[in-house]
Amino acid sequence: MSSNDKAGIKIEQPKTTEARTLVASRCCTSLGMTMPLLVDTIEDRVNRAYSGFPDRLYLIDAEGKVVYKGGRGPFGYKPRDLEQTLVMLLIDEAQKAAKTDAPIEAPAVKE
Amino acid sequence: MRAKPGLFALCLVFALAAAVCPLASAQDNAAQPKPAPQESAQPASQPAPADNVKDPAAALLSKLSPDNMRAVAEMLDRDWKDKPEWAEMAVAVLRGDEMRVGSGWWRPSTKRYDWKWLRANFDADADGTVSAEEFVAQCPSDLTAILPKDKLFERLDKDYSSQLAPDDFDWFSRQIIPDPRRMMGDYMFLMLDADGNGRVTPDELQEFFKQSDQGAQGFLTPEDLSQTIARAISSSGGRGGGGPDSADVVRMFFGGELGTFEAGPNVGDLAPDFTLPTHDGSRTFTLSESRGKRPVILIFGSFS
Repeated sequence: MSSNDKAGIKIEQPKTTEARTLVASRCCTSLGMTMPLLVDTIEDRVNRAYSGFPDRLYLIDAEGKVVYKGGRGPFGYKPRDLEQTLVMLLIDEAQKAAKTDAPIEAPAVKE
Repeated sequence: MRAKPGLFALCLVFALAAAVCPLASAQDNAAQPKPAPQESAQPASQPAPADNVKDPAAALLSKLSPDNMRAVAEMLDRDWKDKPEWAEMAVAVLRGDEMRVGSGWWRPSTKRYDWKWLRANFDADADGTVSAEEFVAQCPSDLTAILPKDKLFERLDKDYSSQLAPDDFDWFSRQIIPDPRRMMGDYMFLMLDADGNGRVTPDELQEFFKQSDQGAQGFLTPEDLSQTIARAISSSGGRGGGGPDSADVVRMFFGGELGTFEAGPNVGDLAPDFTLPTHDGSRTFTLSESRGKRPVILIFGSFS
């Protein structure tokens, strides 16, 4: 792939977890990543569970439910689409928390 | 009392480093949907086919002419109702469809929150748009710990028009004409980012200048820039020329190089739990341990 050639990236398919971890470390260094970088099992168990290859985005709420399922990459990979959903999720959660925290009004008592 | 909304989304990147995993070599193949019978009917005493014996479906189908591939695709499409996602993609590949959202398994995102949700919550004057003033007036103050309200608005305002409308939430329609400023910026960035690491440094700018200043005059002319752009297009293979032919695409698809055959969880589903180590082995992360605390973003990627 020309973009890989440009970046000097020529990587053999890892066949062991150790080899994959080395590639992941190289990825982390090359891209200057600051986010936690997790390495999938060599059987691609998590990739298969999420249909993650070649790239994909998910947003999961605090209850563990999927809020955003990105399209398959590369064509469906839209970080700003996810960002909008994250903003709206946080707004929704804050609105719900405000309602829950509001003092409960005493029921009107008939005289 | 329920937990307050998470102030920060925990971002994770999965290094599925070169995660292309041919179906035949996968260890837990039992759960893998199979596009065609994997067992060869060939007697053991006869020599195995020379090419790609692990993937007979790809080997057979890639021998068809493009016209016959299209004919097979039409038969499959007509005869196989309620196809799974991977079979939709198989039909698109055999038919030679253009690779884009809307073709095969490339579909738009699905999400709990969209323009309809935002409009229902923020369009106070019911004019069909949400202004910055409407947004700021109704945005919960709790969120200012993450970003000021006007900055949150900017994150939603895709076209920077200071007004939210349906187009701001449409990332997949082909009818939307890309912003030419953005396109030009993206292209310039690709040319300048010599090492492809997503950052342009002063050294790279200097190198670009040097490469473009063919006459070593110490300044650039429009002709210099035109020639640099022409060279960049030429070295990238013309962006569209020299792509894989239909047989290559069939082999890539059945070899798992175009994507994972499984479909993944849908919006509203409980996200499958997992525990994985970080690349440096310093700790592990278990998804379910974030429940009740904060949202999580999963970014799947590969490095190959």
